[in-house]
Amino acid sequence: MDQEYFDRLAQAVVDGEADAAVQLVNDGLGKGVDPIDAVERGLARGIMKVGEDFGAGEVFLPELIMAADVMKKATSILDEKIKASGTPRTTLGKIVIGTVKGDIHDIGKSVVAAVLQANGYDVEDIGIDVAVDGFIQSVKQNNADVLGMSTLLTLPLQVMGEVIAAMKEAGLRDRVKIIVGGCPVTQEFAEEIGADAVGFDAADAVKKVGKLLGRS
Amino acid sequence: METVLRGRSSEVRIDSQGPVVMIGEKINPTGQKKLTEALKEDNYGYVKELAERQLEHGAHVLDINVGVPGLDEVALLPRIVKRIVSDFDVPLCLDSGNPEALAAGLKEVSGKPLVNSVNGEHDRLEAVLPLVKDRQAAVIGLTMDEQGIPTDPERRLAIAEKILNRAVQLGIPKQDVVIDTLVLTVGADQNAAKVTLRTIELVRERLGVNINLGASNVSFGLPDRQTINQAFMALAIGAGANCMITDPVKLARSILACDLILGRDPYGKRYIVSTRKRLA
Repeated sequence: MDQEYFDRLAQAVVDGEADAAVQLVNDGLGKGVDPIDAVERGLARGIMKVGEDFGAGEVFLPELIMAADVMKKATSILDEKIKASGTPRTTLGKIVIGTVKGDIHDIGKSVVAAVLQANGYDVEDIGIDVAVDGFIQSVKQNNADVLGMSTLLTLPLQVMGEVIAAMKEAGLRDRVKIIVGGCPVTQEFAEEIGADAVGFDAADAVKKVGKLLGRS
Repeated sequence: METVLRGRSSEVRIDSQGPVVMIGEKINPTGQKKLTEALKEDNYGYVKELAERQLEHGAHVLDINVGVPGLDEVALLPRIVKRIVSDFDVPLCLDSGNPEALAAGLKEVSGKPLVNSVNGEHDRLEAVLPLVKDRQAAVIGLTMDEQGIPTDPERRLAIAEKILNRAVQLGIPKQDVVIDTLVLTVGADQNAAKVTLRTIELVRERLGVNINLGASNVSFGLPDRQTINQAFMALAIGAGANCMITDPVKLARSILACDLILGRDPYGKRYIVSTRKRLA
Protein backbone atom coordinates (compact mmCIF):
# COMPACT_ATOMS: atom_id res chain seq x y z
CA MET A 1 0.00 0.00 0.00
CA ASP A 2 1.16 3.48 -0.79
CA GLN A 3 1.48 6.53 1.35
CA GLU A 4 -1.88 7.80 0.14
CA TYR A 5 -3.59 4.87 1.82
CA PHE A 6 -2.02 5.63 5.18
CA ASP A 7 -2.83 9.31 4.78
CA ARG A 8 -6.47 8.48 4.20
CA LEU A 9 -6.46 6.31 7.30
CA ALA A 10 -5.00 9.17 9.35
CA GLN A 11 -7.52 11.58 7.84
CA ALA A 12 -10.45 9.32 8.78
CA VAL A 13 -9.35 9.63 12.42
CA VAL A 14 -8.95 13.40 12.15
CA ASP A 15 -12.41 13.73 10.59
CA GLY A 16 -13.98 11.36 13.10
CA GLU A 17 -15.27 9.08 10.34
CA ALA A 18 -15.64 5.67 12.01
CA ASP A 19 -17.28 3.90 9.07
CA ALA A 20 -14.64 5.16 6.65
CA ALA A 21 -11.83 4.10 9.00
CA VAL A 22 -13.24 0.59 9.44
CA GLN A 23 -13.78 0.27 5.71
CA LEU A 24 -10.20 1.38 4.98
CA VAL A 25 -8.82 -1.02 7.58
CA ASN A 26 -10.74 -3.94 6.14
CA ASP A 27 -9.77 -3.03 2.56
CA GLY A 28 -6.16 -2.78 3.63
CA LEU A 29 -6.16 -6.09 5.42
CA GLY A 30 -7.72 -7.70 2.32
CA LYS A 31 -4.85 -6.36 0.26
CA GLY A 32 -2.18 -7.56 2.65
CA VAL A 33 -1.36 -4.39 4.58
CA ASP A 34 0.69 -5.06 7.69
CA PRO A 35 -1.67 -4.29 10.61
CA ILE A 36 1.18 -2.73 12.61
CA ASP A 37 1.82 -0.36 9.69
CA ALA A 38 -1.86 0.49 9.54
CA VAL A 39 -1.74 1.56 13.19
CA GLU A 40 1.61 3.31 13.27
CA ARG A 41 1.76 4.90 9.83
CA GLY A 42 -1.98 5.57 9.62
CA LEU A 43 -4.29 5.75 12.62
CA ALA A 44 -1.69 6.86 15.17
CA ARG A 45 -0.60 9.77 12.98
CA GLY A 46 -4.21 10.91 12.81
CA ILE A 47 -4.80 10.84 16.54
CA MET A 48 -1.46 12.53 17.20
CA LYS A 49 -2.49 15.38 14.95
CA VAL A 50 -5.80 15.70 16.78
CA GLY A 51 -3.97 15.63 20.12
CA GLU A 52 -1.65 18.42 19.02
CA ASP A 53 -4.47 20.56 17.67
CA PHE A 54 -6.43 20.03 20.87
CA GLY A 55 -3.44 21.24 22.84
CA ALA A 56 -3.29 24.32 20.63
CA GLY A 57 -7.00 25.02 21.22
CA GLU A 58 -7.91 24.44 17.57
CA VAL A 59 -9.78 21.23 18.17
CA PHE A 60 -12.50 20.92 20.81
CA LEU A 61 -13.36 18.25 23.32
CA PRO A 62 -16.10 16.47 21.34
CA GLU A 63 -13.77 16.25 18.33
CA LEU A 64 -11.02 14.74 20.47
CA ILE A 65 -13.45 12.18 21.90
CA MET A 66 -14.78 11.42 18.43
CA ALA A 67 -11.29 10.86 17.05
CA ALA A 68 -10.38 8.64 20.01
CA ASP A 69 -13.53 6.58 19.43
CA VAL A 70 -12.65 6.09 15.77
CA MET A 71 -9.12 5.14 16.75
CA LYS A 72 -10.46 2.60 19.26
CA LYS A 73 -12.84 1.02 16.76
CA ALA A 74 -10.26 0.71 14.03
CA THR A 75 -7.42 -0.53 16.25
CA SER A 76 -9.62 -3.19 17.83
CA ILE A 77 -9.87 -4.85 14.40
CA LEU A 78 -6.15 -4.49 13.82
CA ASP A 79 -5.15 -5.59 17.33
CA GLU A 80 -6.77 -8.97 16.75
CA LYS A 81 -4.68 -9.48 13.61
CA ILE A 82 -1.56 -8.30 15.37
CA LYS A 83 -2.15 -10.69 18.24
CA ALA A 84 -2.75 -13.56 15.83
CA SER A 85 0.49 -12.81 14.01
CA GLY A 86 2.52 -13.12 17.21
CA THR A 87 4.59 -9.93 16.80
CA PRO A 88 3.39 -7.54 19.48
CA ARG A 89 3.06 -3.81 18.83
CA THR A 90 5.78 -1.87 20.51
CA THR A 91 4.61 0.90 22.78
CA LEU A 92 6.58 3.62 24.50
CA GLY A 93 5.49 2.43 27.93
CA LYS A 94 2.61 1.31 30.08
CA ILE A 95 0.74 3.99 31.99
CA VAL A 96 -1.93 3.53 34.64
CA ILE A 97 -4.04 6.64 35.18
CA GLY A 98 -7.02 7.57 37.34
CA THR A 99 -8.82 10.26 39.37
CA VAL A 100 -8.23 9.78 43.10
CA LYS A 101 -10.78 8.81 45.76
CA GLY A 102 -13.16 11.56 46.74
CA ASP A 103 -13.35 13.03 43.25
CA ILE A 104 -15.53 11.99 40.35
CA HIS A 105 -14.19 14.47 37.78
CA ASP A 106 -13.53 12.46 34.68
CA ILE A 107 -12.78 14.70 31.74
CA GLY A 108 -9.33 16.11 32.46
CA LYS A 109 -7.96 12.72 33.30
CA SER A 110 -9.61 11.14 30.23
CA VAL A 111 -8.21 13.81 27.94
CA VAL A 112 -4.70 13.21 29.29
CA ALA A 113 -5.20 9.46 28.83
CA ALA A 114 -6.37 9.94 25.23
CA VAL A 115 -3.50 12.25 24.35
CA LEU A 116 -0.91 9.92 25.95
CA GLN A 117 -2.39 7.05 23.98
CA ALA A 118 -2.20 9.14 20.86
CA ASN A 119 1.48 9.62 21.50
CA GLY A 120 2.21 5.93 21.54
CA TYR A 121 1.78 4.92 25.16
CA ASP A 122 -0.27 1.98 26.29
CA VAL A 123 -2.71 3.58 28.73
CA GLU A 124 -4.89 1.85 31.29
CA ASP A 125 -7.55 4.33 32.43
CA ILE A 126 -8.87 3.01 35.75
CA GLY A 127 -11.55 5.66 36.07
CA ILE A 128 -12.64 8.01 38.85
CA ASP A 129 -12.90 7.91 42.65
CA VAL A 130 -10.05 5.35 42.77
CA ALA A 131 -8.87 4.36 46.25
CA VAL A 132 -5.24 3.73 47.23
CA ASP A 133 -5.63 -0.03 46.77
CA GLY A 134 -7.11 0.40 43.30
CA PHE A 135 -3.97 2.20 42.11
CA ILE A 136 -1.60 -0.31 43.70
CA GLN A 137 -3.46 -3.33 42.26
CA SER A 138 -3.56 -1.85 38.79
CA VAL A 139 0.10 -0.84 38.80
CA LYS A 140 1.01 -4.42 39.77
CA GLN A 141 -1.34 -6.10 37.33
CA ASN A 142 -0.28 -3.97 34.40
CA ASN A 143 3.37 -3.87 35.30
CA ALA A 144 3.14 -0.14 34.78
CA ASP A 145 6.09 2.12 33.98
CA VAL A 146 4.20 5.24 34.96
CA LEU A 147 1.38 6.03 37.37
CA GLY A 148 -0.75 9.11 36.76
CA MET A 149 -3.12 10.58 39.35
CA SER A 150 -5.54 13.44 38.95
CA THR A 151 -7.98 15.57 40.93
CA LEU A 152 -9.81 18.87 40.47
CA LEU A 153 -10.56 19.26 44.18
CA THR A 154 -8.39 20.14 47.15
CA LEU A 155 -9.55 17.58 49.73
CA PRO A 156 -8.67 14.49 47.65
CA LEU A 157 -5.11 15.80 47.18
CA GLN A 158 -4.07 13.94 50.30
CA VAL A 159 -4.96 10.63 48.62
CA MET A 160 -2.10 11.23 46.16
CA GLY A 161 0.36 11.28 49.05
CA GLU A 162 -1.21 8.15 50.49
CA VAL A 163 -0.85 6.33 47.18
CA ILE A 164 2.83 7.25 46.97
CA ALA A 165 3.38 6.01 50.52
CA ALA A 166 1.60 2.76 49.67
CA MET A 167 3.74 2.42 46.51
CA LYS A 168 6.84 2.60 48.69
CA GLU A 169 5.45 0.09 51.12
CA ALA A 170 4.62 -2.32 48.30
CA GLY A 171 8.18 -1.99 46.99
CA LEU A 172 6.94 -0.49 43.71
CA ARG A 173 8.11 3.09 44.03
CA ASP A 174 11.61 2.59 42.60
CA ARG A 175 10.48 1.10 39.33
CA VAL A 176 7.41 3.25 38.65
CA LYS A 177 7.49 6.94 37.77
CA ILE A 178 4.68 9.02 39.22
CA ILE A 179 3.06 12.04 37.58
CA VAL A 180 0.24 14.06 39.13
CA GLY A 181 -2.09 16.67 37.73
CA GLY A 182 -5.33 18.62 38.06
CA CYS A 183 -6.36 22.14 38.90
CA PRO A 184 -5.01 22.48 42.47
CA VAL A 185 -1.75 20.59 41.87
CA THR A 186 1.37 22.71 41.95
CA GLN A 187 5.06 21.89 41.47
CA GLU A 188 5.57 22.54 45.17
CA PHE A 189 2.85 20.13 46.16
CA ALA A 190 4.19 17.41 43.85
CA GLU A 191 7.65 17.72 45.38
CA GLU A 192 6.24 17.69 48.88
CA ILE A 193 4.43 14.36 48.36
CA GLY A 194 7.35 12.89 46.42
CA ALA A 195 5.85 12.69 42.93
CA ASP A 196 8.26 12.82 39.98
CA ALA A 197 6.43 15.41 37.90
CA VAL A 198 3.29 17.52 37.37
CA GLY A 199 1.40 17.58 34.09
CA PHE A 200 -0.14 21.03 33.81
CA ASP A 201 -2.14 20.05 30.74
CA ALA A 202 -2.35 17.09 28.37
CA ALA A 203 0.53 18.21 26.16
CA ASP A 204 2.67 18.95 29.20
CA ALA A 205 1.88 15.48 30.60
CA VAL A 206 3.14 13.88 27.38
CA LYS A 207 6.34 15.92 27.55
CA LYS A 208 6.96 15.11 31.21
CA VAL A 209 6.23 11.39 30.83
CA GLY A 210 8.68 11.27 27.92
CA LYS A 211 11.30 12.92 30.10
CA LEU A 212 10.65 10.57 33.03
CA LEU A 213 11.14 7.55 30.79
CA GLY A 214 14.31 9.05 29.31
CA ARG A 215 12.88 9.63 25.85
CA SER A 216 13.56 13.31 25.41
CA MET B 1 -41.92 27.21 48.09
CA GLU B 2 -39.73 29.92 49.59
CA THR B 3 -36.19 29.64 50.85
CA VAL B 4 -35.28 32.73 52.84
CA LEU B 5 -31.62 33.72 53.14
CA ARG B 6 -30.39 36.64 55.20
CA GLY B 7 -27.37 38.85 55.44
CA ARG B 8 -26.78 41.14 58.41
CA SER B 9 -30.05 42.93 57.75
CA SER B 10 -30.83 42.14 54.11
CA GLU B 11 -33.06 39.34 52.96
CA VAL B 12 -33.15 37.29 49.76
CA ARG B 13 -36.01 34.96 48.87
CA ILE B 14 -35.59 32.02 46.55
CA ASP B 15 -39.17 31.68 45.47
CA SER B 16 -40.50 29.13 43.01
CA GLN B 17 -42.81 31.80 41.57
CA GLY B 18 -40.32 34.67 41.77
CA PRO B 19 -37.28 35.83 39.85
CA VAL B 20 -34.10 33.81 39.69
CA VAL B 21 -31.63 34.28 42.55
CA MET B 22 -28.03 34.68 41.45
CA ILE B 23 -25.22 33.36 43.61
CA GLY B 24 -21.91 34.91 42.54
CA GLU B 25 -19.39 32.09 42.01
CA LYS B 26 -16.15 34.02 41.63
CA ILE B 27 -14.79 33.78 45.17
CA ASN B 28 -13.48 30.28 44.52
CA PRO B 29 -9.76 29.70 43.88
CA THR B 30 -10.24 26.52 41.79
CA GLY B 31 -8.52 27.34 38.52
CA GLN B 32 -8.08 31.01 39.49
CA LYS B 33 -4.40 31.75 39.93
CA LYS B 34 -4.86 35.32 41.03
CA LEU B 35 -7.27 34.47 43.84
CA THR B 36 -5.11 31.52 44.90
CA GLU B 37 -2.14 33.87 45.28
CA ALA B 38 -4.25 36.47 47.06
CA LEU B 39 -5.43 33.93 49.62
CA LYS B 40 -1.89 32.68 50.14
CA GLU B 41 -0.65 36.20 50.75
CA ASP B 42 -3.64 36.99 52.94
CA ASN B 43 -4.52 39.74 50.48
CA TYR B 44 -8.14 40.35 51.39
CA GLY B 45 -8.31 43.36 49.06
CA TYR B 46 -8.65 41.16 46.00
CA VAL B 47 -11.38 39.07 47.60
CA LYS B 48 -13.23 42.27 48.40
CA GLU B 49 -12.84 43.45 44.83
CA LEU B 50 -14.38 40.21 43.53
CA ALA B 51 -17.29 40.61 45.94
CA GLU B 52 -17.90 44.23 44.89
CA ARG B 53 -17.77 43.45 41.20
CA GLN B 54 -20.28 40.62 41.48
CA LEU B 55 -22.68 42.65 43.58
CA GLU B 56 -22.50 45.52 41.12
CA HIS B 57 -23.53 43.12 38.39
CA GLY B 58 -26.55 41.90 40.28
CA ALA B 59 -25.44 38.98 42.47
CA HIS B 60 -27.91 38.45 45.32
CA VAL B 61 -25.77 36.01 47.31
CA LEU B 62 -21.99 35.45 47.38
CA ASP B 63 -20.45 32.00 47.31
CA ILE B 64 -17.32 31.81 49.48
CA ASN B 65 -14.85 29.01 48.77
CA VAL B 66 -11.26 29.33 49.99
CA GLY B 67 -9.93 25.81 49.42
CA VAL B 68 -6.26 26.17 48.47
CA PRO B 69 -3.84 23.26 48.89
CA GLY B 70 -1.47 23.94 51.75
CA LEU B 71 -3.70 26.53 53.43
CA ASP B 72 -5.67 25.72 56.58
CA GLU B 73 -9.23 26.06 55.41
CA VAL B 74 -10.61 25.62 58.93
CA ALA B 75 -8.83 28.83 59.95
CA LEU B 76 -9.13 30.68 56.65
CA LEU B 77 -12.84 30.30 55.88
CA PRO B 78 -14.05 31.97 59.10
CA ARG B 79 -11.43 34.72 58.69
CA ILE B 80 -12.59 35.62 55.18
CA VAL B 81 -16.25 35.24 56.12
CA LYS B 82 -15.82 37.62 59.02
CA ARG B 83 -14.34 40.30 56.80
CA ILE B 84 -16.94 39.87 54.06
CA VAL B 85 -19.71 40.07 56.65
CA SER B 86 -18.36 43.33 58.03
CA ASP B 87 -18.04 44.89 54.54
CA PHE B 88 -21.18 43.61 52.80
CA ASP B 89 -24.75 43.18 53.92
CA VAL B 90 -25.52 40.21 51.70
CA PRO B 91 -26.38 36.56 52.39
CA LEU B 92 -23.43 34.19 52.00
CA CYS B 93 -23.14 30.71 50.59
CA LEU B 94 -20.37 28.87 52.45
CA ASP B 95 -18.71 26.43 50.09
CA SER B 96 -16.36 23.72 51.31
CA GLY B 97 -15.76 19.99 51.11
CA ASN B 98 -14.48 20.10 54.66
CA PRO B 99 -17.21 19.91 57.35
CA GLU B 100 -14.87 21.39 59.98
CA ALA B 101 -14.26 24.43 57.79
CA LEU B 102 -18.01 24.81 57.29
CA ALA B 103 -18.58 24.60 61.04
CA ALA B 104 -15.92 27.26 61.65
CA GLY B 105 -17.28 29.50 58.89
CA LEU B 106 -20.84 29.22 60.15
CA LYS B 107 -19.74 30.63 63.50
CA GLU B 108 -18.70 33.91 61.88
CA VAL B 109 -21.53 34.43 59.45
CA SER B 110 -24.50 36.56 60.39
CA GLY B 111 -28.11 36.21 59.24
CA LYS B 112 -29.11 33.00 57.54
CA PRO B 113 -26.52 31.53 55.17
CA LEU B 114 -26.68 28.80 52.58
CA VAL B 115 -24.36 25.82 53.00
CA ASN B 116 -22.77 24.41 49.83
CA SER B 117 -23.22 21.44 50.04
CA VAL B 118 -24.37 17.97 50.93
CA ASN B 119 -25.00 15.11 48.51
CA GLY B 120 -26.57 11.67 48.84
CA GLU B 121 -23.47 10.17 50.47
CA HIS B 122 -24.28 8.92 53.94
CA ASP B 123 -21.13 10.30 55.59
CA ARG B 124 -21.54 13.71 54.05
CA LEU B 125 -25.19 13.96 55.11
CA GLU B 126 -24.37 12.98 58.68
CA ALA B 127 -21.41 15.35 58.90
CA VAL B 128 -23.00 18.46 57.40
CA LEU B 129 -26.77 18.38 58.03
CA PRO B 130 -26.39 18.71 61.82
CA LEU B 131 -24.32 21.88 61.26
CA VAL B 132 -27.06 23.26 59.04
CA LYS B 133 -29.69 22.41 61.64
CA ASP B 134 -27.75 23.95 64.54
CA ARG B 135 -27.12 27.17 62.67
CA GLN B 136 -30.66 27.21 61.20
CA ALA B 137 -29.13 27.69 57.80
CA ALA B 138 -30.31 26.50 54.39
CA VAL B 139 -28.43 23.87 52.42
CA ILE B 140 -27.75 22.85 48.82
CA GLY B 141 -28.17 19.12 48.10
CA LEU B 142 -26.34 17.75 45.07
CA THR B 143 -27.93 14.82 43.26
CA MET B 144 -24.94 12.51 43.43
CA ASP B 145 -23.84 9.83 45.88
CA GLU B 146 -21.25 7.10 46.52
CA GLN B 147 -21.92 5.72 43.03
CA GLY B 148 -21.26 9.05 41.33
CA ILE B 149 -23.69 11.13 39.25
CA PRO B 150 -26.53 9.04 37.81
CA THR B 151 -27.26 9.40 34.10
CA ASP B 152 -30.90 8.57 34.77
CA PRO B 153 -33.15 11.47 35.88
CA GLU B 154 -35.27 9.18 38.08
CA ARG B 155 -32.18 8.14 40.00
CA ARG B 156 -31.11 11.74 40.47
CA LEU B 157 -34.61 12.43 41.79
CA ALA B 158 -34.27 9.49 44.20
CA ILE B 159 -31.08 11.02 45.62
CA ALA B 160 -32.79 14.40 45.99
CA GLU B 161 -35.57 12.66 47.89
CA LYS B 162 -33.09 10.91 50.15
CA ILE B 163 -31.37 14.20 51.01
CA LEU B 164 -34.67 15.94 51.63
CA ASN B 165 -35.98 13.12 53.85
CA ARG B 166 -32.85 13.05 55.98
CA ALA B 167 -32.90 16.83 56.38
CA VAL B 168 -36.53 16.85 57.44
CA GLN B 169 -35.85 13.97 59.88
CA LEU B 170 -33.17 16.09 61.50
CA GLY B 171 -35.56 19.00 61.82
CA ILE B 172 -34.48 21.14 58.88
CA PRO B 173 -37.57 22.61 57.19
CA LYS B 174 -38.20 21.31 53.68
CA GLN B 175 -38.02 24.81 52.22
CA ASP B 176 -34.46 25.19 53.48
CA VAL B 177 -33.20 22.42 51.23
CA VAL B 178 -32.32 23.59 47.73
CA ILE B 179 -31.66 20.77 45.29
CA ASP B 180 -28.88 21.07 42.74
CA THR B 181 -29.61 18.77 39.82
CA LEU B 182 -26.02 19.02 38.48
CA VAL B 183 -25.01 19.38 34.89
CA LEU B 184 -22.06 17.81 33.11
CA THR B 185 -20.59 19.14 29.91
CA VAL B 186 -22.28 18.43 26.60
CA GLY B 187 -18.73 18.53 25.26
CA ALA B 188 -18.22 15.00 26.60
CA ASP B 189 -21.76 13.65 26.39
CA GLN B 190 -24.32 15.35 24.20
CA ASN B 191 -27.18 14.01 26.31
CA ALA B 192 -25.80 15.40 29.57
CA ALA B 193 -27.91 18.56 29.69
CA LYS B 194 -31.08 16.76 28.65
CA VAL B 195 -30.75 14.54 31.73
CA THR B 196 -30.43 17.65 33.89
CA LEU B 197 -33.43 19.39 32.35
CA ARG B 198 -35.59 16.32 32.92
CA THR B 199 -34.35 16.06 36.51
CA ILE B 200 -35.33 19.68 37.13
CA GLU B 201 -38.88 18.93 35.95
CA LEU B 202 -39.10 15.82 38.13
CA VAL B 203 -37.80 17.55 41.26
CA ARG B 204 -40.13 20.47 40.67
CA GLU B 205 -43.19 18.22 40.14
CA ARG B 206 -42.62 15.62 42.81
CA LEU B 207 -40.72 17.42 45.57
CA GLY B 208 -41.64 21.04 44.93
CA VAL B 209 -38.42 22.39 46.45
CA ASN B 210 -36.26 25.15 45.01
CA ILE B 211 -33.66 24.18 42.45
CA ASN B 212 -30.12 25.47 42.08
CA LEU B 213 -27.70 24.98 39.21
CA GLY B 214 -24.12 25.83 38.40
CA ALA B 215 -24.58 26.84 34.81
CA SER B 216 -21.03 27.12 33.51
CA ASN B 217 -20.09 23.43 33.51
CA VAL B 218 -22.33 22.62 30.59
CA SER B 219 -20.04 24.15 27.97
CA PHE B 220 -16.65 22.84 29.12
CA GLY B 221 -14.37 21.91 26.21
CA LEU B 222 -16.42 23.78 23.61
CA PRO B 223 -15.89 26.99 21.66
CA ASP B 224 -17.94 30.12 22.46
CA ARG B 225 -19.03 28.86 25.86
CA GLN B 226 -21.10 31.95 26.58
CA THR B 227 -23.66 31.11 23.90
CA ILE B 228 -24.12 27.59 25.23
CA ASN B 229 -24.32 28.77 28.83
CA GLN B 230 -27.03 31.28 27.95
CA ALA B 231 -29.08 28.76 26.00
CA PHE B 232 -28.82 26.17 28.72
CA MET B 233 -29.68 28.62 31.46
CA ALA B 234 -32.80 29.75 29.65
CA LEU B 235 -33.94 26.15 29.20
CA ALA B 236 -33.12 25.28 32.82
CA ILE B 237 -35.00 28.31 34.14
CA GLY B 238 -37.90 27.42 31.86
CA ALA B 239 -37.87 23.89 33.30
CA GLY B 240 -38.00 25.22 36.85
CA ALA B 241 -34.52 26.09 38.14
CA ASN B 242 -34.71 29.32 40.13
CA CYS B 243 -31.28 29.74 41.67
CA MET B 244 -28.01 29.93 39.73
CA ILE B 245 -24.45 29.75 40.94
CA THR B 246 -22.78 31.63 38.16
CA ASP B 247 -20.65 34.56 37.06
CA PRO B 248 -23.04 37.52 37.20
CA VAL B 249 -20.68 39.66 35.15
CA LYS B 250 -21.24 37.31 32.22
CA LEU B 251 -24.71 35.93 32.78
CA ALA B 252 -26.83 38.33 34.82
CA ARG B 253 -28.28 39.95 31.71
CA SER B 254 -29.60 36.65 30.32
CA ILE B 255 -31.06 35.76 33.68
CA LEU B 256 -32.90 39.06 33.88
CA ALA B 257 -34.18 38.51 30.35
CA CYS B 258 -35.47 35.05 31.34
CA ASP B 259 -37.34 36.53 34.30
CA LEU B 260 -38.92 39.14 32.06
CA ILE B 261 -39.94 36.56 29.47
CA LEU B 262 -41.47 34.32 32.14
CA GLY B 263 -43.62 37.13 33.53
CA ARG B 264 -41.66 37.59 36.74
CA ASP B 265 -40.56 41.15 36.13
CA PRO B 266 -43.55 43.54 36.32
CA TYR B 267 -43.25 46.36 33.78
CA GLY B 268 -39.82 44.93 32.89
CA LYS B 269 -38.46 47.17 35.59
CA ARG B 270 -35.55 45.06 36.78
CA TYR B 271 -34.43 44.39 33.24
CA ILE B 272 -34.68 48.01 32.16
CA VAL B 273 -33.06 49.49 35.25
CA SER B 274 -30.16 47.09 35.05
CA THR B 275 -29.65 47.66 31.33
CA ARG B 276 -29.79 51.41 31.71
CA LYS B 277 -27.20 51.23 34.47
CA ARG B 278 -24.92 49.11 32.32
CA LEU B 279 -25.19 51.37 29.29
CA ALA B 280 -24.83 54.60 31.27
